[in-house]
Amino acid sequence: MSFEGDQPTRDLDRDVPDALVDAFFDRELSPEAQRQVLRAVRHDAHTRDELERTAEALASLRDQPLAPDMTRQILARADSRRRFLPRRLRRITRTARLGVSGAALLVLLGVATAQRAWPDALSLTPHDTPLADVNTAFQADAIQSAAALRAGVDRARVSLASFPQRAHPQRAHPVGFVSVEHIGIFDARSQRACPSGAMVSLNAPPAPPDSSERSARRAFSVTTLVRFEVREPGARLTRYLSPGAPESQGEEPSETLLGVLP
Amino acid sequence: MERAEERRLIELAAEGDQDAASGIIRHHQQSLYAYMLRMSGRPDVAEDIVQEAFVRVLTNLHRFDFRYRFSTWLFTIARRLYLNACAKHRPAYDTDMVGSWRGKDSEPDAPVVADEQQSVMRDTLQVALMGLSSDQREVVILFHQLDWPIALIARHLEMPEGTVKSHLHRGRKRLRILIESRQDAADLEMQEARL
Repeated sequence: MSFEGDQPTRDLDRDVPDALVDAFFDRELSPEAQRQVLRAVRHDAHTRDELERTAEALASLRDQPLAPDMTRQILARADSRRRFLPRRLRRITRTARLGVSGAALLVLLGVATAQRAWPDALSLTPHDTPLADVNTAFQADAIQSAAALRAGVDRARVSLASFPQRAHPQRAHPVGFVSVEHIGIFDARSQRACPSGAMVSLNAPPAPPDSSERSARRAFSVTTLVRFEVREPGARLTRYLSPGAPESQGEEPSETLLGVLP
Repeated sequence: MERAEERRLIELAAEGDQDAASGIIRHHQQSLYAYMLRMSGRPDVAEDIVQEAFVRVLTNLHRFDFRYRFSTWLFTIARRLYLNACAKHRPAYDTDMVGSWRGKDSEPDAPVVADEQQSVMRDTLQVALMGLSSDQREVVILFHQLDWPIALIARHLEMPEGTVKSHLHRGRKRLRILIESRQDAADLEMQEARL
């Protein structure tokens, strides 16, 4: 006997094959084919017994255990992770969401309209600039800034080389100078800073210090111990002691003029 | 539950409607619990996994893709939780706890003998199920208990349909043999007790 699709190809009389029994339980047989199998197993005691016992086992599998109602526990657990909203609040939330979405859409439409009406109004540059140009300009800027910074350092070194260690004995401070190699540069105008423990202010505005200088001083207050001010015609050396600096050794924050360039 | 109705409930629950969430839970908890209980053989494990699966589903409803069946998604999450639980701590099958199940037909006023017979049969069935390999057990439960088609089982278990069928045929045959041997042993015990 052979089996094709959902129909046995010839009458079943003896020895129902396992494949057909499997197909029977796999629900792959047509009703007519199922009847043929059941007729055939009447003559095959072994297969009939097997079929009946399997059917019985599978029937008991369908007797599902009754589940306890876990709705309350599940909702409580879910609510602790993501709040369920009352109907009224849900309506408000939905309206608010729609309102926000509508407003965002209106803004986008407004921007699009404005761009169409006044193309130059919203552009950052008078005309479009390729990104490569921006990159090149940025590099050129960086090189120029580095050169200026180096020139500033050189000027400071020259100035400080002739700076007497105790220009004003009355005002000089035992702390003295930090070595030239450790001097950082602070440009009061461009506000570039190098955290090196000391500071040279080039072309600083006349005292009292302006806001940029103050802000720079604040920015440096954590690490700065000594401050150099190089100005034309005279340069002043000032010591700043910040409360957090390890060199402060418990001293109060202070600002001391150490000396003036001759 | 029809798919349109299920979709409506899911959308409402995703917006935070508790009643809709309750409806979803009530509709699916029975079959999911039965699946997990048959798989694990432990009511406490089954309950815990069912609860956690529902919580995960309810907190991620906005991610649900309506092209797929909700029950498949739920069962997949539950199955992963079960496999994780097995990897951490294999749930040991507990005969006493399984014996305390109440079936659909076991009403409080049902005859005591019939109830006892049902209980014995359920116990026998669970012992036999636990004698199958994990794959065989799962395929047999999904196909014969939950009526899932072969193609869906194959997708759910991420295995070819041919492999699913192979597990089904072997599992079914083994299940019958294990039930028979257990029933024979029980008969023998009864005879010995009479003597």
